[in-house]
Amino acid sequence: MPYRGVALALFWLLPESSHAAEAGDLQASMDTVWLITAGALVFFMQAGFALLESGMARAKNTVNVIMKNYVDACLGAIAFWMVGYGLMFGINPSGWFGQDHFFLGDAEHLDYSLLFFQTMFAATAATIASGALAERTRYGGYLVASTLTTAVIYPVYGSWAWGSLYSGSGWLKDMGFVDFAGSTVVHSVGGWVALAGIIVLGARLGRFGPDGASRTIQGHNLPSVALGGFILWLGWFGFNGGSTTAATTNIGLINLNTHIAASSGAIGAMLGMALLGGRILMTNTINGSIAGLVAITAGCATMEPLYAVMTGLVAGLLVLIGNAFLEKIRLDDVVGAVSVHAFAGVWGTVAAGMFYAGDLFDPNRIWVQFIGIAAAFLWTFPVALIMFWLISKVIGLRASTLDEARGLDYTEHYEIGYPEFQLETLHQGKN
Amino acid sequence: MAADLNSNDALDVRVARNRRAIYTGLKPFLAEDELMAALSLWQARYSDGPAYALHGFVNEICADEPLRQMRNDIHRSLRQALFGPDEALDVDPLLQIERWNHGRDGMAAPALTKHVMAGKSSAKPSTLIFESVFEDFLHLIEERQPISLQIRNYIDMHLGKVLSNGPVSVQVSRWLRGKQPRLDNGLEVAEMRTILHMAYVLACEYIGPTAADQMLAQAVRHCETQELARQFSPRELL
Repeated sequence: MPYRGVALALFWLLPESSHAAEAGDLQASMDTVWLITAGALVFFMQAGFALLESGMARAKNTVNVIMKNYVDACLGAIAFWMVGYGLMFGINPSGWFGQDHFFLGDAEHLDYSLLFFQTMFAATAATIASGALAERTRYGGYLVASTLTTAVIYPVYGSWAWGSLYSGSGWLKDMGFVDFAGSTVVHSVGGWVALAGIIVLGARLGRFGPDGASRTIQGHNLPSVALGGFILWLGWFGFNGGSTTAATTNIGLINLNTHIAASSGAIGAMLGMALLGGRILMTNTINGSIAGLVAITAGCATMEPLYAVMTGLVAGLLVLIGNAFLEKIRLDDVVGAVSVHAFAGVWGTVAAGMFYAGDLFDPNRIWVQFIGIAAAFLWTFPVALIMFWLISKVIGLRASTLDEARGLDYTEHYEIGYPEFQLETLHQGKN
Repeated sequence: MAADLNSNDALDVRVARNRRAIYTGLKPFLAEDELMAALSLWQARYSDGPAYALHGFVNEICADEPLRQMRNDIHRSLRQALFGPDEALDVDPLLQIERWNHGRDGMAAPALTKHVMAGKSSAKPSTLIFESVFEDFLHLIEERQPISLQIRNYIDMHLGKVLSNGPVSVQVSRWLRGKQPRLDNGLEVAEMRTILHMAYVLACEYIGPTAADQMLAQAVRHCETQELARQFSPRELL
């Protein structure tokens, strides 16, 4: 206590210009601390994805799902540092992509902090597809797709919507597109990549019967799914709160909106299940909360809490409708990533335009939101479709049915998740 | 330990009950000598399997005329006995079987006995294990949904893609269609694996991958309890 008094006395003894400089340094330090802490929270979301996705897969594919999550974060970090960050945030005179800040080095401290934070975002966008593609994708093919997503697909769209951090801007940003933390930039982009992937891959063996009937393939560990959901929720406070990129006072509103939208998403999903079928599934409830988080990501900084509740509720319902639609057209999305990230991301981006505080339901703003949503789809989906198709032809994307039967843990990694208990594991590894 | 003893007792009771049923079901069709040969075969190879796993056993004892003509009737009779009331069953023929086995040395064996002994002595462990896993797997599927015939037909139709050796292909085709009780030794392990995998893929399509996994696991575990599994692990086929 006495030391603090001495420090304060010394501070007031300094000339006024020094006070301003000190305050500026203090603010910069606080900004950095918040940005790095938020980045660490976003990184923790990778653990959430790993738990949620592996829990929703069968036991024989656990190691494979976790390895994909683990390694796409590693490769994505390097790819984003090398190429992605420059494409997304470098000097952008055309509005279409950044042209410098590749292989960032010898830069300002703030640049390193921003790169760190944005790297975590890029990893999130890339890892969304892993859950959708689980249980039948070859490891090498997936990693190539994931790295290209982090290095090119995600940053190019990001440069349109968020513009440069240095000079120039993005064409969507200049139109007034609102996507504060990335409902479209991160989540819909990841979701559209996932959609392209599951179209090229095809469904898991037996997911749809010969008569077209949809068959649920239960995940092996629902507690892990729940823990993954909680971790994602926690990480989202860094995802949305950190997108201020500074220690500002509006973080309270942002994270309150984030929290209540997630809660509403879970409630919306439960209401939907009660109205539609009567069975309240935990997996759908958790997906509902994540859809709420995805949806509020665009407008969390520019919307009143009442509208955050509405945004979350609709997102929760949308997950059920989206999953039913995908099943109807016989697309196999193991974790519901397309509904949760792509569809809820679209809705959240529309909601951000509709519920913009002080300018509710402005048709011009909503129109720009639709342009941004369409641009994301028209860029991401065809490019991802071509990417997956090329990978399937050149490297190989779909695991053989024999490998699918044996489980990708052994056939891709020579390990299994639960050696003491996995009595159903019959195979002996790749020949 | 007590639990082990209890489970062994329960197993003995089940086997004795099934033996009575097999005896009762076969008696109307076989002469005494053939009946004992068939019961010996069942005791040696099929008694530790599930009660409904009859297909392989019936195929094996009905390999030759005139029993071949009666295969369906025999199968039906066995099922009725196995799943009918205990009161309808004859007494346990265990002592008769043992007596018959002791007295058989040096005597002229009936056709069925000759066939059984010849088949058992010449088949490689891998072939026998493959037959056992395949048949068990299909029986488990059949219990869930009557599609084993479709699976056999599908594999039969696609054998050309799997087997390059014409005579072996013909032999496997006959075996799949129930026209030959046992496989000869011409099938390679890789080919067995492919055939079993074809059955697995179809099972996934028809009954779902989780159920298919469970049934294949059950068939393999059952097979692993057999003595032969020490010479050839059924997991080599997966």
